[in-house]
Amino acid sequence: MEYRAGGAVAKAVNGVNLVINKGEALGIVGESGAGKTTTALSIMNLLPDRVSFVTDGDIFFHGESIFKKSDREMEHIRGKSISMVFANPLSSLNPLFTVGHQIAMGIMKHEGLGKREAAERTAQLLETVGIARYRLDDYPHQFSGGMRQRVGIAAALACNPELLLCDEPTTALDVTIQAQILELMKKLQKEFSTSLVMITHNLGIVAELCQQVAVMYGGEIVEYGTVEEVFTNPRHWYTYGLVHAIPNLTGPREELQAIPGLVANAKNLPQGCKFHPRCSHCTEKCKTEAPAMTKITESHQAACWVMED
Amino acid sequence: MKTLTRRDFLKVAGLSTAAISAMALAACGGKGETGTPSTSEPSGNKPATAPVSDGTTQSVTMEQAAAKEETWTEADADKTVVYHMGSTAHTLQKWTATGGDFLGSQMYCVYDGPIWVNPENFEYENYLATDYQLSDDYLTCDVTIRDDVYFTNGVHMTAHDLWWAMENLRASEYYPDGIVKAWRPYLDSIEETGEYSIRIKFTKPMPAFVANFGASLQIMPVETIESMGWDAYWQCPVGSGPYTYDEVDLTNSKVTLKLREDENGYWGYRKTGYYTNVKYLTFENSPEETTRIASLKTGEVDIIDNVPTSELGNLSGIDSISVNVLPSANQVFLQLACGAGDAFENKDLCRALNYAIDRELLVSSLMDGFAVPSTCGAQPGYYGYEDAPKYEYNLDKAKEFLQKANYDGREFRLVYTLSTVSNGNEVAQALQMMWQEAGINVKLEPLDVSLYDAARDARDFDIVLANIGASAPYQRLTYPEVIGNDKFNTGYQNEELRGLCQELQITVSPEKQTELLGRIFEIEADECQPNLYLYAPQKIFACQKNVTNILNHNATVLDCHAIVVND
Amino acid sequence: MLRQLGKRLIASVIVLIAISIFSFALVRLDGADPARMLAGELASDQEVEDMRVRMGLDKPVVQQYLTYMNNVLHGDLGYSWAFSMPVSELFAIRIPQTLRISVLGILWACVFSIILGVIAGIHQGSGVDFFAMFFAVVGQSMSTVWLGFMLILIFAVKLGWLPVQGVQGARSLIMPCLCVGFGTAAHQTRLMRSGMVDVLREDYVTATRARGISRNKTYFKYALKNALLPIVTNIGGQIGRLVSGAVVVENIFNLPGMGQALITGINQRDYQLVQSFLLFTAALLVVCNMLADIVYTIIDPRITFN
Repeated sequence: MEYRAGGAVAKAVNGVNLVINKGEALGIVGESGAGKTTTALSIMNLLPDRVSFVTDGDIFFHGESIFKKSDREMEHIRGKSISMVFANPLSSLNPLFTVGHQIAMGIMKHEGLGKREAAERTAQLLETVGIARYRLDDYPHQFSGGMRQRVGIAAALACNPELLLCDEPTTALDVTIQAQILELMKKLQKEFSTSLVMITHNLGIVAELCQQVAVMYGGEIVEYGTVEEVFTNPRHWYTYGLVHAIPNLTGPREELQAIPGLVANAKNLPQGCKFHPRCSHCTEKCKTEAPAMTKITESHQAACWVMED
Repeated sequence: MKTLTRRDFLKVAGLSTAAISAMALAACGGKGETGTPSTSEPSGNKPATAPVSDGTTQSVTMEQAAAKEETWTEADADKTVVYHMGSTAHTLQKWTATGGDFLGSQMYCVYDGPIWVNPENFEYENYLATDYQLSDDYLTCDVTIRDDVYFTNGVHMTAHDLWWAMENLRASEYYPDGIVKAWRPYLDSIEETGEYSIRIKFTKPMPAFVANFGASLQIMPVETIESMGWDAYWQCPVGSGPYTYDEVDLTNSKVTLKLREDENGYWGYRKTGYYTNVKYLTFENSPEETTRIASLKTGEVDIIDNVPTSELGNLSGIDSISVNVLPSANQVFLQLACGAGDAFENKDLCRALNYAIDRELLVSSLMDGFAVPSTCGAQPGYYGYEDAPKYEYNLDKAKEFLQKANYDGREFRLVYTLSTVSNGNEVAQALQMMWQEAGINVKLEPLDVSLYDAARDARDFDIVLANIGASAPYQRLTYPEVIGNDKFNTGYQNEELRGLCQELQITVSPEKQTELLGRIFEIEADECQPNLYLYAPQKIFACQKNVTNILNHNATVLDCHAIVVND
Repeated sequence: MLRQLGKRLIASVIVLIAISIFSFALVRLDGADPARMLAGELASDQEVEDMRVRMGLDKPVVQQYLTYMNNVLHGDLGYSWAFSMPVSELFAIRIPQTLRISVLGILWACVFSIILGVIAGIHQGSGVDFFAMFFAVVGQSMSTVWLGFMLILIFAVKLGWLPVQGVQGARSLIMPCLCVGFGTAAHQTRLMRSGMVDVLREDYVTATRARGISRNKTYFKYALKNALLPIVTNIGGQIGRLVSGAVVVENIFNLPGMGQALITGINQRDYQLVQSFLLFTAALLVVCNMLADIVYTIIDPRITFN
């Protein structure tokens, strides 16, 4: 899909083919601007109205097309079957309403509960995410960033969704909180078989939590497969760069290996392979022809012309 | 919804603003030529012995009156007339009211005076009085009033009521000196000499006596005032006129009068033969001219006053509305500094100035024709007018006099303020141009009113453009005082002129006043000192055409007591 | 909170004193002499002097000011020479009329601007948005006087639907209220619209939708409250515009309110009427602003009264 505003067109997502199964956790990895959030929003058909346009493709949930659903139908799905945790805890809660209210709104809508029962459920949810229940009536500005993110998670979990989309849920948080949240996620997966899409640029989280991983660059998936395969044997040069950019905790100190260049600009994407300007293995073909996804194993694909065997 | 780009927005915004402005201009326009409306006669040339209007103020002839008198009574009246004015009033007491015509119009409807000005020929006639006799030395006046007059509350009018009114003017706790200054200095004593007669003794001859001895005296039933108490009485005062106060809302300057319904009826209708079919007469203040005019056009209002000349185009051509002119209340004039050593001591210089002024042009271009160009100090129809020599516009003569005066080309200072002459800028500039043509250099100095007053007091001017209230009754007072006492410090040196004015200040006989004023204006016109009169702006009022018989007594207020509304 | 309130009150009092001095000086600035005006052009100097003494204008200016302020504190707002009654009495009689058009004016302005602004903000770029912005620009630049006369011309004279002036029942309030509220409605439409646009861009709006809340509820319950905040404080400032609007409108439509009294007072150099009116308006503004701030703190939990 693309964003059109003021005469400029940003091609945000240019080729994504994903399959998520029940109880599975998929990680979507990539630098900022790669199109990850857009992908997530489009799963719920929540892209901003006037500026976004889906040019091709579809999303199927339980076999039904998302894009063909009416608004009313989508409202039943959002918050109930599919839920989302947003990236920035500081701005994703409405400052004028209590935390309890914002969690309960979904409960009241989808499960038809009255205020009192919804409040009880909310209190339980808060406890689940580790916040004292009496803080129901407090306002977002009275919580720290980490707690706000937990509130966001509680709101997303309120109606036991089948699919939980997490957009950078731990980016704004410190490491210890991060760990707590990850534990929570794991618990959910185990207890409720919630499917998870974890969008992050932190490979460590993906390794901890997910079974599958997709690497995105320039709005496309450049590598896709199980976590073991992709991380131990990255075939796309971008993935390779990402994996090796992580410094080793043990062993002698080595020079950090960065990927040269800047992230591709969605308004002005390069020809051919979108990564070619930054790739050290770039060939002539890479510059003109965009590579298709090539199967490496049954559960591992990559899109590159110059893959090593 | 379709998305519009910013460019589209700007385009349409510009176009529509232009369109709206064009529509607005077209709607407000339709002025045509700004000139005299078709319904009004050209000003200034008539001797003004008859009302200046388009026949709206038609009066009933005596035969018609006789016929009507038999069949008509006040009970036949059923119409309502609404009159919106630019002035306000916050009291019903004429003497304490601060300016404006609001109360003036009501005087004729509610009260009667011993003498009135006949609206058909502007002569002074007995009204309430059957007779009044001034002694030869003008220090005594015997007045006898009719015996068949009843106030609207049934009380029979006697000399005691007239005595009471006069006595309060002479000395009273209710009227401090400052507000009855037209009377107080002149009244020595008042005594009742009979059931219907009084004798007034003056301290000195009162030139304005006859002019002021009218309805504005407010002759009221003394017994009613005494029984109700002064303050309570003024909530609803009583007079002997045809109308009573029905609804009074002074904070909003709105008063409704109702035709009297007592068994006696209004004696005045029997005397003059006038009558009315207006049962309710409402006077209300409406401060914005445009609003008044709009109200007249929609028919919400029947009469409006103070119509600015610029709005006449708006009103002309509407069949249902007639536009009329009232005698002026003031004159715009020039004063010259002509004392010893002053710029205009030399009479030839003054004459030069005078001959270079084209008064007709001033009136036609600046006042849209709605002013009477002054031909001398008095206004047409007023005392002294016939006898005085008339101004002339003659550029050659002006140049001749300039030469005679050995004019050296120096620049004169013309001082004026917009507070007193609202179109002062245009008038001053027009004069400057006219004088330029004759070769006289004049510099314009518009001043703030306080500085203007100070300049006049200190004679810090060569020429002053000024405005003076000079409606008919007061001319006898105004000129003698202004000129005779040199109130505005022109420094003029003609002793004969001064003597004449001072004599006028104690002259009561109208004939003598005419003679004196004639001579005064003669001297002024010849020497062109100290005053050069320019024009007398007229006031305009408009009404629905079917509202007829609005009377005028050669004053600036309308007499609404005998209105006849045709269907 | 109370301490803040106290501080605020003291500041307000200082502002009011400053305004009283300022208005006292302002009316006397043009040098015209009200005693002479009241006494008349042909009055002798003695008569003008007498009048001056009666009006209390012979005393030194500072003393006049102190007397005036002393009286004000005792509830005596002075005596109006133009209306021949105490100013406080005049206020009491005339204020209801002014309030009527002002309150109705601000009511329609708020309702209209909020509705239009919200719809325009939601449907940014659409025809409604276009109209709203056009209205906002034109309305803010339009002269109230011109608008008043145009309305009279169209609706009273040409169409005859409404009365030109005066107080003739509810119908005569329509055009005046329209005029009084017009500038405010335009200004607030713009504020509401941009406020709404800004709020709709926030993450929490998307997050609300993500919980399944319907579009309308998201906009009109959850986003609107946030967008209304700047409007609340703005209303406090709009009171000033309303008062000046009322003055003009009352004169054009001949409504017997405070505004018309003020114009009469100015024309006749009725010092005490004008001074008291200015003081009163200033006090009103101060109070309204303070109220708006208080309301703001009530609505927005993030703000304490600072």
